[in-house]
Amino acid sequence: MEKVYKKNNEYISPLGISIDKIDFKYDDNILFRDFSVKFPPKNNTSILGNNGIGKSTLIKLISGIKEPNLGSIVDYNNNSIHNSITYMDQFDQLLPWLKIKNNITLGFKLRQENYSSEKFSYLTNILGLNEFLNSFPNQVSGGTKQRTALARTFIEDRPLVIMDEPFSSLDTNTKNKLIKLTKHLVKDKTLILVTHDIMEAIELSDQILILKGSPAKIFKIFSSEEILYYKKKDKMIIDLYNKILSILDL
Amino acid sequence: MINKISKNKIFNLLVSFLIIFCTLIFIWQIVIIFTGVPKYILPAPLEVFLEMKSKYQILFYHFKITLLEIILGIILGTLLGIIGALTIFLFKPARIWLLPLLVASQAIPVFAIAPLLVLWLGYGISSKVAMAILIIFFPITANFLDGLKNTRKDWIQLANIMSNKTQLSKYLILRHIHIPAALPSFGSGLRVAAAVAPIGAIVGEWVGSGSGLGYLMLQSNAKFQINLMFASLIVIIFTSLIIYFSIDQIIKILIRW
Repeated sequence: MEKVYKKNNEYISPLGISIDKIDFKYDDNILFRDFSVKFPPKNNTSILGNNGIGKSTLIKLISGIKEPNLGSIVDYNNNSIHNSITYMDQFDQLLPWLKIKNNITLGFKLRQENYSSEKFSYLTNILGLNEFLNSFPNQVSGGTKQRTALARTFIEDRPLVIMDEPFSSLDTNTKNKLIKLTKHLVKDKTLILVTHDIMEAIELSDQILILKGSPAKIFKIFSSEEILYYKKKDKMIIDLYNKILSILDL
Repeated sequence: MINKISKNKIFNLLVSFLIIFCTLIFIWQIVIIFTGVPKYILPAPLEVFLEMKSKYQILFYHFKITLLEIILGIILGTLLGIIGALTIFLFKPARIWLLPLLVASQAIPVFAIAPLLVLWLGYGISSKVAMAILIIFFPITANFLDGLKNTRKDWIQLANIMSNKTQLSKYLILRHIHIPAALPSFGSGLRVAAAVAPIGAIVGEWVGSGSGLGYLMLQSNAKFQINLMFASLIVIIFTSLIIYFSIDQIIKILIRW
C-alpha cells in the first residue's frame, strides 16, 4: 500500500475501513441489520439520507462512540481503527475555558504528546486564525469557531477524518470557503462525511452513499468514476444534484 | 479590558452596598426616634459606632480569631468537599456508601453537633473550624459532583475519540475536561459555603469558647453591654459580607465560562 502519511517522522499507511455485517439496535428500533460497506483509503465518502435513517449513528459506530451489537468495524488489515480517527461535528465543541490555540491542540494534551509547531502555524495561517489564537471561544464568531474546530481536526496525525454535518450551522459564504479548505486539507486522508447538503457532498466526495429504508441499507452508490463524469461540466453537476435529490425524495 | 470591567463592577458593588448600608442606618435611627425603644433593647447607631471606636482593640482581637476560624473552615471544607466529590465520581462503590452518609450529615442540625465537637475538640479554634467544615462540606461536594456528572456528553465523546484509550486517558480526560467543566458548579457551591461558613464559626463560639466575636456577643450580653453586643454583631455582618463578596469576585475572575 502506498505510504504517504507522516507521523513523528514515521510514514504510516492511509486507512481503509471495512464495516462487516453489523447489527445495531437502539431501544427497540433496529437501525442496521447485516450492514456492510467499505471506505477505501484516501477516499472521500459522503453519506446522504433522510432524517432518522441512521447516518449519524453509523459514524458514531465507526468512531467508537457506540458499539455494534454484532459485526465488526476494522481497517483493511483487520486492526482496530479507534486510535486512527479524528472527528468533527456540526457544533464546534470548543471548550470555553481554553483559548483558541489550546482548543486546537487539545488532542495532544489528552495524549501527552507534542504537536508540530510547523503544522500548527500552517493551519492557523490557512484558516485565518492567527489574530484569534489568544481569544476564548465566547469572544469569536460562529465561523471562527468552526474554523478552529477544523484546525483541531486537521492538526491530528490521524489518517481517518469523520465529519458529521460540519458546516450546517454556517452561512453560505463561510460554508463554501470552509468546504474548499477542507478539500485541500483532507488530501492523503480518508474522509467520511455525513451531510444533508447534496452540493457539499458532490464538492467533497469521491464516493457518495445514499442510505434508505429501515433498517438502513445502501440504496445507491455513486462511484468516483460516476462523480468525475458529472463533474466534467458545471451543467452536469446539476444533473447529478437532481438525480441524488430524486433518489432521496423517493 | 477584563481588569477594567472587574474594577467597574467592584466600584458599582461598593456604591450599591454603601447606599443599602446608609438606608438601613437611617431606618434604624427612625425606629428609635419614633418608637422610643429603650437603649438597653436597641441602642442608637451613633452610640454603637462610638462603642466600636472606643473598643476597637477588643473587637479587632476577637475579629481576627473568628476570621481565622472562617477562613480555615472554608479552605479545609472546600478541600474535603473536592476530595469527596472526586471520590464519589470516580469510584462507584463510594456512591453507595458515601452519598447516604453525606445526606445524613445534613439532616442533623448544626446546633445539635456543636456541644459534641466542643467536648471532643476542646474550647479552642479546632471545634469552630470543624463546625464550619461540617456546614461547608455538603454544598461543595454536592455542587462539584453535580458539575462532574453533568459534563457535556459531546465533549466527553470528542475527548474519548482524541485520547489514546489507555488507563492514563481516563485521568487526563478528568483533568482536562470534567474538572474544568465542573468549575462553574463548584463556584456555586463555594458561594454557598462562603455565606454559611460564618454560621458554623459563630455557633461554635456560642456553645463553648474563650474568644471570637460570637463569644464577645455572649459575654457583652451577660454583662449588659448592649452597645458592645451590637458592635460585635455589626463586625460579624461586615466580616461575612466581605468574605462572601471577595470569594464571589475571585470566582467571577477565575471562572469566566
